[in-house]
Amino acid sequence: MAPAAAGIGLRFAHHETVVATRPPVPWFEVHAENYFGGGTNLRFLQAVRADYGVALHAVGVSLGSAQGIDAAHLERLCALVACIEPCLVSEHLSWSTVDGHYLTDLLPLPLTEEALGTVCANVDRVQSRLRRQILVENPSSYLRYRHATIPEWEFLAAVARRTGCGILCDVNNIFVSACNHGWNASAYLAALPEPLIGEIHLAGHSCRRLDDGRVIRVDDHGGPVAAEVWDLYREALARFGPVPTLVEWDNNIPTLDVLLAEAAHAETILQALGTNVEQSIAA
Amino acid sequence: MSNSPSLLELQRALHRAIVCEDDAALVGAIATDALAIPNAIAIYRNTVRWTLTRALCLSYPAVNRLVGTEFFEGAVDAFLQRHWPVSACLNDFGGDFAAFLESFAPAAELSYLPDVAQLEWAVHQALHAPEATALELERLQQLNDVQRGAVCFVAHPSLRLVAVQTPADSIWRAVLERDEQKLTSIDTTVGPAWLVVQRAPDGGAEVSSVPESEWRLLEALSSGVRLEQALLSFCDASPGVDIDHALAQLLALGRFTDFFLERSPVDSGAPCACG
Repeated sequence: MAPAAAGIGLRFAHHETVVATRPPVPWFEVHAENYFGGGTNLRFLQAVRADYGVALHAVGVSLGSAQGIDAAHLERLCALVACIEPCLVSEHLSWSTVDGHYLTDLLPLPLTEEALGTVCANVDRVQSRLRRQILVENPSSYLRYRHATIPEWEFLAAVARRTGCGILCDVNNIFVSACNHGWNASAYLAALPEPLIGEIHLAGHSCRRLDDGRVIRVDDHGGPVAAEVWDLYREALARFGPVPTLVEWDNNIPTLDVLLAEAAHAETILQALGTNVEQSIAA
Repeated sequence: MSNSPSLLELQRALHRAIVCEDDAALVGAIATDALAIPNAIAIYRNTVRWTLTRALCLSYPAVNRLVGTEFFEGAVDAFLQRHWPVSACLNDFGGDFAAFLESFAPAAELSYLPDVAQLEWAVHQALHAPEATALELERLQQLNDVQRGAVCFVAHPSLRLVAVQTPADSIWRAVLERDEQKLTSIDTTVGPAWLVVQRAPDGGAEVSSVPESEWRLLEALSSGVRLEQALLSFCDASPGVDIDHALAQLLALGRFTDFFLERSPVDSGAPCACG
C-alpha cells in the first residue's frame, strides 16, 4: 500500500535529480509503459525503488477495448510489476486500442451495459494475470455519446463492485469533466463508494475559450493545480478520509522543487484533515 | 452506423475519425445538445497526433534540430498517414522513420538525413534494451580448439550495427553538442561509415566508427554465425590483421553475453587457424 501522503509523478526530466538528491517524497508514481523492456530508464526506476515506494500507472492497457486486452502488453506490465513490486497499480476507465492500432489518448467509452461488461471482463483479466488488485481511474472527457445509459460515477462504482478493483479518484478529471458536461462535481464525489478509493490524483488543466464564448477545460497536466481543484480535493478528503495522493505534471514540466511544493501543499491539506479528524474524535 | 452502435463499431468509428480524419461514421453517435462541446473529436485527434509527434521528437532529437520544428512536424504528419503504433509502448514506435525519410520529397536534398535517423533509432533501441551481463572470457578459455571453432555468440541486447553512406555519426554528435562550427566543417559526402552502437555501463549510448572488416566480423558473430566461419571470412577480407586481438577487443567491449556450441554440417574437427 502507498502511504496516505502526497507523492509526485516521476518523469524522465527528474530521474537524475531524484537519484542524486533523494528528496523527501513519501512515494513516487510512474507511467508503466515508459519502463517496458528495460534499459537506462528502468535502471533509474530501480534506483528510485531502492529508497521509495513506487506506484505503476498504466496508460496503454486499454481496459475498455471491445476486442479484449492485448496479451503481449499485459505480459510486459506483468514483468514490470514483478521487477518493481509497486505499492499500487492503476489504469484508466477508457480505451485506446482497436484492430491492433494504438491511439495515444485515453478515449471515452460509451457508458452502456455492453461497455460495463467489457470493462469488467478486462479488469478481471488484468487482475487475474497480475494476481493483485488494480485501481481504475475516472477519465477527463470532452464528448458524450447519445446512447450512454449509465452516469460515469455509477459506471465506475459498478466496475469496482463487480471486479473487486479499487478506484483512483482523479479530482482534477472530475472537475474538468463536470465543467465540460455540466455535471455537479460534488455529487460525483458523493456517489463514489468511499471504502474503494485507493488513491487520489491532482493535476493542472488549461482553459480554452470557444467561438461561442464558452470555456472548456482541457486536462493537459501542464500547470499547477487549480484553486477550484484544491477545494474539491478538500471535499474529497472530507468524504474519503486520508488517501494516498499524487501530484501529476506531464507537460511544461517544471523543476523538481516546484513539484515538491505542490506535493507539500497537498500534504498540508492531508495533515489538516488528520488534525480535524483527531479533534472531532476528541470532541 | 446506427445511433446506438456496438462498442466495437463505435471504437472503429473513433479510430477512423482520429487516424483518417473521417468523422462521418461517428457524428451520429455523439451528443450535440446545448452542453456539447463543438468539434470535440478534434481535441482527441490533436492529442493523439501531438503525443506521437512528441514521441518521435524524443527518439529523433538530432533530426528534429537539423530540419527545425516546422519541417519535422510536417514530416511526422506525412509519416502518420502510413504508419501508426501497433504497440501501446511508444518506445516501440517510429522504427520506420528513416526509411520514410528516404522517400520524403521535401527532404530529398538532405542525403544525410535518413542516415542520421537510422543512427538515432539504433541509439534509441540501445537505450531501451534489456540489461545483460557481458560474457566472461574465462568461459571461452575453458573450451578446446574444436569447441572454440563451433562457438556461436549471443549479442548484447543493446548492440546495434549501422552502415550508412554519409558521416552520420559526426553530424549526429555535432548537432547534439550544438557545435555549429564542427557541423559546418563536416563534408557530408564523405562515406561510408560503419557504426557500432551499444549502451555503455553508465547508461548512455556509445557510438563507435570502426573499420568495415571489424564491422562485418561483428555483424556475422552477432547474428549467430559460427566463430570459425566468421574468422575465416574476416581473414579473407583483412589479411594481416591480428584476428586474436580483434576478437579479444570485441569480448572486452562486452559485445556478447553468452554463446552456444554448434556442430559444423561437415564436422571436420579442424581448429580455427588464421591470423
